[in-house]
Amino acid sequence: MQQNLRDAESLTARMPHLILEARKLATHIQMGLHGRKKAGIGEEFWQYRPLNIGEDMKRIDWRRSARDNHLSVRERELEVAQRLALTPDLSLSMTYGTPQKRDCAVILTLALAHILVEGGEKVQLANFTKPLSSRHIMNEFAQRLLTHETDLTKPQDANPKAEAIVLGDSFSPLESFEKLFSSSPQKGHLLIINAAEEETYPFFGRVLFEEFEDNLKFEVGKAETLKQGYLAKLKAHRDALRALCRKYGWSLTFHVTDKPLAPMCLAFLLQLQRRGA
Amino acid sequence: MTFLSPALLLALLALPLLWWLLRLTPPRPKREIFPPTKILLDLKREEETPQNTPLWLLLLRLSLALALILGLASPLFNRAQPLTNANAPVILLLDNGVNAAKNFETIITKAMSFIRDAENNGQGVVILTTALKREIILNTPQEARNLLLTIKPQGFLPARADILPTLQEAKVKYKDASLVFLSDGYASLNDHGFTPDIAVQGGLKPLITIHEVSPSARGFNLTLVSSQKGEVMLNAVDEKSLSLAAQSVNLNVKTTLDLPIELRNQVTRLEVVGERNAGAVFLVDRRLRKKIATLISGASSDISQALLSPTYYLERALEPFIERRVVSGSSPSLAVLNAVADKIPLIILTDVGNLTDEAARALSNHVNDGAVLVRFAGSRLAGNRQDNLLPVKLRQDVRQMGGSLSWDKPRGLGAFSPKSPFKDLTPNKEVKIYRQVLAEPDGFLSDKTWVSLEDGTPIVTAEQRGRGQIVLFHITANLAWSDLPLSGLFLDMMERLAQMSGTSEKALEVENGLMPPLQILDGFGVLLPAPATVEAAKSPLPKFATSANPAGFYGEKSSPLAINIFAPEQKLSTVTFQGKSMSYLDETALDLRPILLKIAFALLMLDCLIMLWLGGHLRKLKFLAILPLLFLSPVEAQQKGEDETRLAFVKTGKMELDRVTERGLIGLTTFITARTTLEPSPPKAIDLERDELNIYPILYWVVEADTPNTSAQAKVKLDNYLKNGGMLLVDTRDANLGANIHNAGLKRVLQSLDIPELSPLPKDHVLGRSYYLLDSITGRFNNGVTWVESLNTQPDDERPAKASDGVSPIIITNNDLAAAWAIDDAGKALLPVDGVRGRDFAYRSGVNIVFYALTGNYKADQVHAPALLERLGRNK
Repeated sequence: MQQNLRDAESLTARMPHLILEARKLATHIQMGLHGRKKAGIGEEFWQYRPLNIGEDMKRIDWRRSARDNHLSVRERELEVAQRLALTPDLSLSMTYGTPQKRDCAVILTLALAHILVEGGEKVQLANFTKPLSSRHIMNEFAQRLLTHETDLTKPQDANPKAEAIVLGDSFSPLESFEKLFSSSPQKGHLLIINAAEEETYPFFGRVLFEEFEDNLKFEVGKAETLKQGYLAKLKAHRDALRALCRKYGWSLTFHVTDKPLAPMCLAFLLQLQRRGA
Repeated sequence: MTFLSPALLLALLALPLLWWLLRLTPPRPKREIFPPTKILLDLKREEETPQNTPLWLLLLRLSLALALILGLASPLFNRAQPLTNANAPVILLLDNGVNAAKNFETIITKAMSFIRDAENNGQGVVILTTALKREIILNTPQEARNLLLTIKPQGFLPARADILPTLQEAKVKYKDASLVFLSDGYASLNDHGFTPDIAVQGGLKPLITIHEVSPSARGFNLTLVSSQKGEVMLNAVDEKSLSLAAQSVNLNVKTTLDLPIELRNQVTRLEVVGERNAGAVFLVDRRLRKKIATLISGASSDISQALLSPTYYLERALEPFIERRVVSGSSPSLAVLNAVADKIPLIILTDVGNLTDEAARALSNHVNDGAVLVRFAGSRLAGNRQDNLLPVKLRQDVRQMGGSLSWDKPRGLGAFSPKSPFKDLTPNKEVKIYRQVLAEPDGFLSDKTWVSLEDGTPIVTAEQRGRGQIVLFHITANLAWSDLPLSGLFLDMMERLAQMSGTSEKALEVENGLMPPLQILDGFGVLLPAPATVEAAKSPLPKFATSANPAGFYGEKSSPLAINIFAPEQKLSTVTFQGKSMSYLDETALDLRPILLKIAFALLMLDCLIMLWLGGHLRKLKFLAILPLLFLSPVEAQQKGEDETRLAFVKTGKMELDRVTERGLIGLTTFITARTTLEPSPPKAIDLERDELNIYPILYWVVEADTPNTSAQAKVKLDNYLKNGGMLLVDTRDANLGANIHNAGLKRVLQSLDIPELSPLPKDHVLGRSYYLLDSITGRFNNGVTWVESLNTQPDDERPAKASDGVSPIIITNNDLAAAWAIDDAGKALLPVDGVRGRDFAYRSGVNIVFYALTGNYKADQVHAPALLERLGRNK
């Protein structure tokens, strides 16, 4: 409990910085995104066309029609608003790594929310908010993240039409992932964030390993001897996870915290677009 | 094996407890928060984690504790059974005469070990010495230790028998007390009745002493006596401790140390190099240097042309080896009486005809007593031939050879008689005799003839009278009768005559009979200013050093007399004392405490390393690279890199000179390290032909008149060195010969180097400001001139060897800097220095030169500081 409080505090202190980072990331990414290039319900002007017989009079664009003898209808670009539910895992185990896995998850959540809302989608923070398209979605989400704890292992209270985006590390047991996948009505996206240490296992000598979530402790005389086994085990776990994703049709993206966020984020968004189209 | 503090061994009982504690507390692991610990748990669930300390680590720590406890308990290994009576005080009697000096440290160490034993047994200690009387005081061991350090060996040979009354008294005062005598192994003046209870003797280094010093034709005859064999260096040293000659001498063999005659008379000390013992130093005074002769001329004093004076050539010929008193003009008889009264051993009469009866009688007696009388003929002698003081009877007439009224030709010299002192000389064929007084032929004439002409007529005759001798030259002492005084032969003959004459004590001594001490030799053979305890020596001077008059110089400062350690005939003999005897070599108890504590410390370090390694901190082997450095002293560690700043000097090949130079640079290095932030490494000797020069900021080079020319290759190297910012400090060390530098060697050496125009050091030169404020660069001498690159040259000049920033690439001085800097291993100055605070200024000069070489002219603005300050003041 104490640990959690301290943790929350540290997140509070860090949130402004994270929001800034997220904004930076978002502006950076937005440059690379485009509209749908076809008429539909949207905000952007697409084309004028003559009024068809039987069409609702309300659709006539009177300003344009006053210029000549034809009645014209103003068509807007088609925008299919997607609904997306973001679920970042902010549990204690995510506070590991430099930079922290949790920070990465928060930045990504906020940035993705912002970019998606700007792109006309509706985004919700699973369990906490309704799907929103507010311009201030970042602040909204940030507040929610500070006051509540999310855990991807808990049942998802998401809009059944919303596509899930789950951000977390890969160390939950496979069963919890399967539960998540099967309970989700829509296909989703799994974004796995790992710390560099978890990938490389740079330990040697006499080491006492500790884990807070389940209060695990493990002491080893020569940590380096476990490296091979650990890496093999990690790979096996990943492979199993990948297979599970394929089975349920979820996408799977990996990220290591010491790598830059932007390329991964862009790739993820493009992948999102492709699937949406 | 015994323990000085056995109580501490109780701590060993705690070892099992330590074992148990250590077993329970394994080394602390590194704590790592690691979310995927679950995976690791799955992975190695079956692997047991070491909860206990590994056995080898346990053993290591136990041995650490063991070494510490044993070390603190002060174990002594091989402790001998105490020889002294444990119930009474110990009386320690130390030899501290001159023969103890060389082995004094051994003696003190042994004494210390006795004091330690006394301390362990709870005994008191009385310390007595053979050379100086001490009061009988019972000391605690700690007091005794301090007292022991104040005892110094004395510069004379004691008589051990003198201490007997004191010993008796001590024995009465402390019954049953054991007398432990630490002997130097050599007989004293009087060892009669001296029987210590326990004598420590044997196992000391043998002494080398100088004996039987006597003047030889060109130097000194002497014998170095020692119980060992081999060769040692003998050094002849002058008043300023400059070495005049060094010669390798075989021990126990009569040796002659040859010197040029001028140098010979400057010798004040003969010493065996490296022998710390006053017996290996022989003080030379005027008695060994010059003999005294009186020259009495019968000629009147109004001879205005010096070259015609009868004594001119004689004076010249005798000058190198005779201190002569010339009497001319006054009555010859009076002069003779004076000379006899002064017991002058050599009296020379040139053309003295008549002496008063009184004078003749006195002179005759004087000759009988052993004086040498040399007479030269002349018109006056020829006219008064009825003289008792002639070796032969003279005929009335003077024989003239050559000239307008003679048919004879001038004659050359014939053979020298084998009985004469001139027997090893070869007659000079060019010498011609024009006139001579003739001897009345008789049966003894040929025996008395030392030198004769080609035709057999005697030209030098001599006769033994008592213990003395009368020699007659049948010619004048000037050029009137012969060419002989012009030839080198005359010089040699005079030298032989001078050797014949003995020395006269009376003539040499100070009249008032009391001679104040000037300088005193301490036991180690170092000349020190005389302490107040030394009495003035009474005339006649003691033949050897005593406690009242230790070895040293006494009398007038201008010509002091020396008392030496040993009388001329004295022999040094070894002595062995009866009774319980032990050797200095007997191993004193080995104190294991420091060794054990060192082991404990090493184990502790090892344990730390192991802890680091177990904790995974030593993964990177980079840490291990510094390990070897831990075992090096800082100096060694620094020496590893050749990029260290250090002073360097050019090897001259003269052993003694190079040694002084090296000691000098060591002295300067020490001074610089103490006074400045610069910490140069030890200096290096450079061979110009082979060694790399460019790594040294400054090169000290002693150039003497006989310094050979360097090879062309070396000169190119030196040239490069100077052009690339190096600095050459040339020292001709001859300012004592005159302020200006006239040195053939310097000329030779510098000839083909590109040397800029030089000028004497200006008062405001940076060299005088670079660290200390100095007016001149001084060394052992302070009257020399220092030359640096002239500052008057135009800046755009094509200066040869223009240093990059106007720093003079060469400094030439003749003040003998290194000799003033030179210190021995103990940090004491090796050689005396001119002037008040001369050494201080010499060091400052050295520092300035080094900083000038290192920092260049950045201090140059200091020279303008007064002007700048004035300008600042004006602007206010």
